[in-house]
Amino acid sequence: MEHFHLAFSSPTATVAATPGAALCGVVASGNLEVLVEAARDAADAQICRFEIHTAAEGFRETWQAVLQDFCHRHAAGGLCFLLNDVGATPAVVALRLAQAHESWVAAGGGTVV
Amino acid sequence: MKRSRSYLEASARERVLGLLDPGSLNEACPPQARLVSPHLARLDLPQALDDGIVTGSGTLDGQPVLIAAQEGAFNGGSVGEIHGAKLTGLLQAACRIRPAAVLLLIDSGGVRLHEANAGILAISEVARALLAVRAAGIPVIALLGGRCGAFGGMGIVSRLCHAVVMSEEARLGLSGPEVIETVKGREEFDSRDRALVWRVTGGKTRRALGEADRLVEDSLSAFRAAAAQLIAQAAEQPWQAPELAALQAAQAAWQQRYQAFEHARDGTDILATRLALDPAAASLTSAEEFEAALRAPAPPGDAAPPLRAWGPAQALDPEDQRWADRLWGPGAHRLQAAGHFLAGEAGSGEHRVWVVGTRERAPIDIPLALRMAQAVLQAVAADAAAATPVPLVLLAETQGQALSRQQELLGLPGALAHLALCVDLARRRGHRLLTLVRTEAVSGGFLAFGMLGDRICALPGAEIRVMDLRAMARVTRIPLERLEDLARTAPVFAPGAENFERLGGVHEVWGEDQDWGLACRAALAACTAQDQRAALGEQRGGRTLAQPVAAAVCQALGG
Repeated sequence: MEHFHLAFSSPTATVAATPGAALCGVVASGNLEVLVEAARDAADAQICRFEIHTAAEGFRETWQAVLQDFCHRHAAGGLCFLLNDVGATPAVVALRLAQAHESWVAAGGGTVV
Repeated sequence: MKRSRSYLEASARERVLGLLDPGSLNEACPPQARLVSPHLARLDLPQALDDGIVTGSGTLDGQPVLIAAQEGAFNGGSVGEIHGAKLTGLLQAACRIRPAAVLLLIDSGGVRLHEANAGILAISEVARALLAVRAAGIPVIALLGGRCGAFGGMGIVSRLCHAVVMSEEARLGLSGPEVIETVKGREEFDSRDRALVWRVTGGKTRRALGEADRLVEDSLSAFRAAAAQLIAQAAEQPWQAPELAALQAAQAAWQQRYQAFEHARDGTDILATRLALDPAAASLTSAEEFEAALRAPAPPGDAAPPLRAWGPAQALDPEDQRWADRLWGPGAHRLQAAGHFLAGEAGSGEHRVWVVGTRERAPIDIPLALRMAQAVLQAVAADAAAATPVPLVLLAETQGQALSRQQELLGLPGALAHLALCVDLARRRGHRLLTLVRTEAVSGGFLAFGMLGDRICALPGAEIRVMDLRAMARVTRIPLERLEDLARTAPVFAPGAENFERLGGVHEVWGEDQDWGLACRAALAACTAQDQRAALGEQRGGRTLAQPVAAAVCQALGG
């Protein structure tokens, strides 16, 4: 397993009145689970943070590319993502991040899918 | 959430949302609580934020329910310390808040082998908590529709529920075909023959045999409808915990059914009798057509057929004699052995006890389980009018369940659940239950009997094990050498009774020089009807998460 933290700038996400959490995906081979919550520190409004736990070793640069791209395309500033990954492809990672982000925003800041 | 969607393909969360009324789910210890498994972390393996199980409350057609759903895709839905504790906490809450029903969406291979000892204890605590919910008159319904089905300890737990709803896609068994194949060979059970696997353990065969109560289509809506129907049924005519007459009737039905199908080797043998359809066509029918084509089983005859002949009852062999003399004194016990079965009574006056159990590393098959159940029921019946029922000493000595395709086919998890229900009846009728682990006690055979004791005592050198290491290596894909190493060093893997004592799974380990007679009497006096093993594990430092996690879930659900 590899464990690391990454952070990228991103336009501020719509922070809900009562921020909760959203979960997407499953910890299984070729898949990952993504938990998204509002960052505890309000000063991080333009930063998106990622905590990654991955069974696929040696892909740090790929993670950086995928996550930076996600932060560029979505308003994810002020959010924290936790990822438990078991070898998902970049496409699946991007999909889960988008799903989690969407359900978080849609539910007014918190639900689990 | 589109309810016509496949239940099989849905994740645990999607199943929960598909069954409950929209917006009604209130999840206890949700993913953001980050209750991840430290045991998996120690093995450098991926963890899930909910440890693979969703637990919560909600409504179904307006009826308040508690619901738990196992995620079969995460480690085969297997039960680890936290996963099991969440389920136990939910069941404990049920007793306090009294929902219309508890729904268990089971999708599990059983004990999480990576957490071995903590896993088997977790399942045992789930079983005890479930029996308490039944005793409280609250319906518990098992829904089986996932890829893992219900195997191992979760197979037994499924059959402890009031009712089992299954789709054709799901399976219900005890030992997985891979395990049977590894230990007994391909001739016994070819796990590559998937059609055979489903004919033995799949939903249709189970429904035809009576090991499942309802067969449904693979959709969220079908499972929801079946659950709603059963909840309505239970509201009208409450489902109580089985009393003596009901279990005696079940015992007779089991003996009759076993005799009727004793030569069956394949699901088609069951379908040929129980289905008014060509067995070859059975796989093509819808769930509704299948239900309509089921023949009711023949009514029980006047006398239950005798259990398989064990040979004449024998007096004890020298080793059993020595052991019994140490416990009760020479001449103060009246025990008889018959093959792997051992029973009788011992002691005198206020120290009299019933003794029921197994010997010589017994493999537990259906006839042996039924024989043990019968002995327990006889003790309960004998003391039915007594002010203080005589305690039962449960002798746990088993190499585990019999690894046999035929035993799986004929419903081994159900037979073990029946045995467990009989032991639970004894407890509810006021009999203290003391388990003695002699040399070894393994997996399902121990789960369904010895682990149900009020107090579990181990003799010196006793070992408790979850699974044969070779089979464990095959299932976990951890090399055998590494497992052997872990079995020597890591608390969750080490099989010694002292280790289990520290985990709270064994209350006492007796010394070689101790007076076992005194120890036995003291242990009986210390028996309590409440399951304190998780608290013991926390106090003793060997299993520190089970108790607080169960308490947290229970509290979150209003219990």
